[in-house]
Amino acid sequence: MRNVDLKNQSLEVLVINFQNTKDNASFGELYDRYYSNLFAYCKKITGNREDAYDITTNTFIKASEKINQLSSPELFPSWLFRIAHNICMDSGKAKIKNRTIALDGLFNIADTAKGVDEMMEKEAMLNQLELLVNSLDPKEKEILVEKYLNKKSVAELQKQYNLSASAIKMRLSRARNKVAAMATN
Amino acid sequence: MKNRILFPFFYQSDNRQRYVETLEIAKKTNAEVVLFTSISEDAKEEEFDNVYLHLLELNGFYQTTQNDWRTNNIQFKRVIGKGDMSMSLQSYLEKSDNPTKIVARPSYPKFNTPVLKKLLEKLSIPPNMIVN
Repeated sequence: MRNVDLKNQSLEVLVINFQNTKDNASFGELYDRYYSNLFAYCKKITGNREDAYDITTNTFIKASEKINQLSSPELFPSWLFRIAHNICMDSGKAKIKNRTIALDGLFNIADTAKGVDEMMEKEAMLNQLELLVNSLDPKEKEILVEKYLNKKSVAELQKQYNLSASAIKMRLSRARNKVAAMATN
Repeated sequence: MKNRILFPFFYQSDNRQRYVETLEIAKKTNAEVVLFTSISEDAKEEEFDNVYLHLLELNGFYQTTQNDWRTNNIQFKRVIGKGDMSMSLQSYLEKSDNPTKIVARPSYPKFNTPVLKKLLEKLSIPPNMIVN
């Protein structure tokens, strides 16, 4: 596949292509799409660029080696960030604590962080969250953005989508659960 | 003492092909690669990030085109000076105790200042060891 074609491919196609044929250009395209965000994420966790650089490059090499273990290609971004997170923790380079945040916490962290460590953790989590939300179906992404970013109430969403309250809640719940599944993969 | 390849670069330029060639030489000669650049005196955080992002871009190109996404044993040193590139490089080389054996010289005109030309001559590197 030519590079210009790869730019237009979905991440699922790129992952499957690399899994099946070890086509370096497909993995290179995945790298080009995510290295910048991953570097920012690692920098937030480690607190310095040198470690973030090394962890970013090591993460992609590890991901290329283990790619066949990824059964859901659409989860590649969260899987990649999870690898980076684990390398940060295992190498002892992480400045922030290894703490699991429940999904409800993930959606509420914006207002609750206290102190530098928590702020850094918050930003790293938001970085990851943004990436996960971006990989959702556009309609699911839209409703989450309206609810949690634009702070719209269920009543407002009811009007906007012309749906009942329970239908809105159900949609929100489904979208949140999808993000949760990706985050824990 | 390990061989050293000096790789000066401006992060705003396209250094991909030269990077690949430099790493191939480093592999064959078991050399350390010094990735050297200089940024403005009053550089903000973003400019430092841009240097690292540029090096990550080069790494991606190298892995995709040359190294099949494998680990390699090449040792790197990343050095970011401040101010004028020529002066910054001169200052770094004067302080460095490990002599540079090879220079991967950028072809872009911005790099061919008289100071740098003199600096390269001073390193006494034979012309065949300067990679253009």
